Amino acid sequence: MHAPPVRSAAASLRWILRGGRATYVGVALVLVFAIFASPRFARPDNLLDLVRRASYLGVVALGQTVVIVTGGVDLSVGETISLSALLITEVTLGRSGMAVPAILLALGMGLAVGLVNGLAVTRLKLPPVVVTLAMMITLKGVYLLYCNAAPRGLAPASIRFWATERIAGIIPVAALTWVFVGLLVWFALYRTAYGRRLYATGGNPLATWVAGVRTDAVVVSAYMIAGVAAALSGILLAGFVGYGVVGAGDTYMMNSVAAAILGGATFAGARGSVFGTTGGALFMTLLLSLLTVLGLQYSAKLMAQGLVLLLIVYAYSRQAGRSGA
Amino acid sequence: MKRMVRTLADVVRGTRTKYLVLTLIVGVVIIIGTVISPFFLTLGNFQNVLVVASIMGVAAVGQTFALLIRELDLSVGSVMSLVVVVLVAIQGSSVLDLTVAVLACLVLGAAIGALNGLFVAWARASSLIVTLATMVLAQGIALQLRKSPGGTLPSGFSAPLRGYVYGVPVALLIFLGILLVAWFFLGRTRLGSHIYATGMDDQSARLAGVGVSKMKVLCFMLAGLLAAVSGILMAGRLSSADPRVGEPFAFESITAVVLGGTTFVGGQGGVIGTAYGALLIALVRNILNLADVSPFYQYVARGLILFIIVAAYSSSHLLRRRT
Repeated sequence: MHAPPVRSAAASLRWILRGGRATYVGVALVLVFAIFASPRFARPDNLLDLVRRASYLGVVALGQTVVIVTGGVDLSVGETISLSALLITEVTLGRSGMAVPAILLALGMGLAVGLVNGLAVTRLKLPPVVVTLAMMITLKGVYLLYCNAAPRGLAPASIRFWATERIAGIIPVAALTWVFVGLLVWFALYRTAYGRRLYATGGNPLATWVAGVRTDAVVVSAYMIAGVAAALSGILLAGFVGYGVVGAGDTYMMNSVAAAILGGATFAGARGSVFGTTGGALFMTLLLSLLTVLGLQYSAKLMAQGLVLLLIVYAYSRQAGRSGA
Repeated sequence: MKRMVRTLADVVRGTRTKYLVLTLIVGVVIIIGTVISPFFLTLGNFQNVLVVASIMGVAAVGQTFALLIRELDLSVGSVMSLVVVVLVAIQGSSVLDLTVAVLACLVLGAAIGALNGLFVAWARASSLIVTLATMVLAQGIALQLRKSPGGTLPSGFSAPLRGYVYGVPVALLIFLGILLVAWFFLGRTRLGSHIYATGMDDQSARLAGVGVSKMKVLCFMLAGLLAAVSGILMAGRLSSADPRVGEPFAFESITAVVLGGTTFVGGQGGVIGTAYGALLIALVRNILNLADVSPFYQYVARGLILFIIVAAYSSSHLLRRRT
């Protein structure tokens, strides 16, 4: 959070590439590359649109970061997003009057999913990977059952506005939401005792418990934050797509984990930042957008994503501590 | 050393009880199946269940190696899809063509596994993110080679794989052969105990002279190799290529392994339990299908079953050893 004294060019390069800052270097590089590939990429309109699209991922990635800070991981966020988006379109069926109940229902669902995940991890002492993997499959079944694999709902105009429109034709409302959530998480992580407890629990749960912190409650709250963040992403995504689809959130599990890890979080816990994850979400969105500009097909996009992820994992691995899966 | 021997004895004792319980569960499931559908207890249906269990079992034995060293391999399913697509792309049908194709697939699987292993062992990256990346990579390649399901496998290839020896499916024989070798390797060789040592505590293992990094690469290579074998068996069963056919297998193989009592703690469990796990999953799925349960409910059922199993294992005193 504060800069160490800069000694040499090599040292300052290392400083820039450490933790979250590297993602912004990545963002700049991809941006330059994209502008070379297609000069229209640099238009302010396009850039703002990119930020809007990044906000869908950015919100859920913040929740994912909170879980990773405690030493866990939430693999169920993708399906939580899908179910949340589906709840919005199926409950409202396009009626704006139903928007608020649907939003509350979706957020409540996210909260409940996080609560179950958290309780399973803390009470039953199960590995987070297994718990959230099981939750992921269960939720997939739930949303397929709910819409019988054939969603027919629509997003109400108000939610479509929230997800896609801009204030004064400039600032995307979705991006404002992202900034708001980011500030909220930032405040919670860095300006409250609760944030310290989160990091302490991730660093050494036993020592933190001995120090008088109810670590179980801290972990449960982290999963609940991830669940609500995923639900919020799902609401935005429903507004963006405009109608009900199956598997709206499929790619968000991997991308949210990737954004957090790129932003300096490690599975060992106690690392990860709002600043870094935000850069990570921007980077992943920009990368996909660049691949689209280059005219790559879905399959080639997957390959490129996998390769870039490996490359970054390699670049990071040398400096960060690690733990088992 | 004495303590080590005692620990191993405990593990063996615990293992016997575990197999007894698992055998009982299989028995109960078979009884339930018989009650639910008259078709369940027929030779044809059992052959089918055993083929499904074998395909899953081969991949799950590979996954066991990953879990034994406290890692996991999410790329298993994509490797299977890739292998199926590659095999169907092979046009020739002479013995030489097919041999080359099979060898190429095995090398491909082992190479992806080696990539995973190198990243985990030498770059010290988390297997979760590394195998997520190779999963996406391999899925991309598979989709690049074939956009949608189709194509046919040369019959000279699919016929032997779908065949039966005295009523026993060839896939089952291959699986049992692999299981035997893996069991012998893990339980009766020095390298096998090095794998367990790596999973229990890699720092201590390193100090004791175990090539921890090599063991990790080896385990991931075996996971990739066996995923490729599983893909070959899958291709034989389907006779055509679906670039997404392996998608559920990352989850299913982990479920089978965990069901068989190999835990995420590392250095615990083994391949025999995994075989039970694969058999149980195949049986349960078969019964749900025969009972005409909607595939959507099956998702929910699978998620809940995994949940319950893991909870049961973690609360049973016999396997309680947390780090």
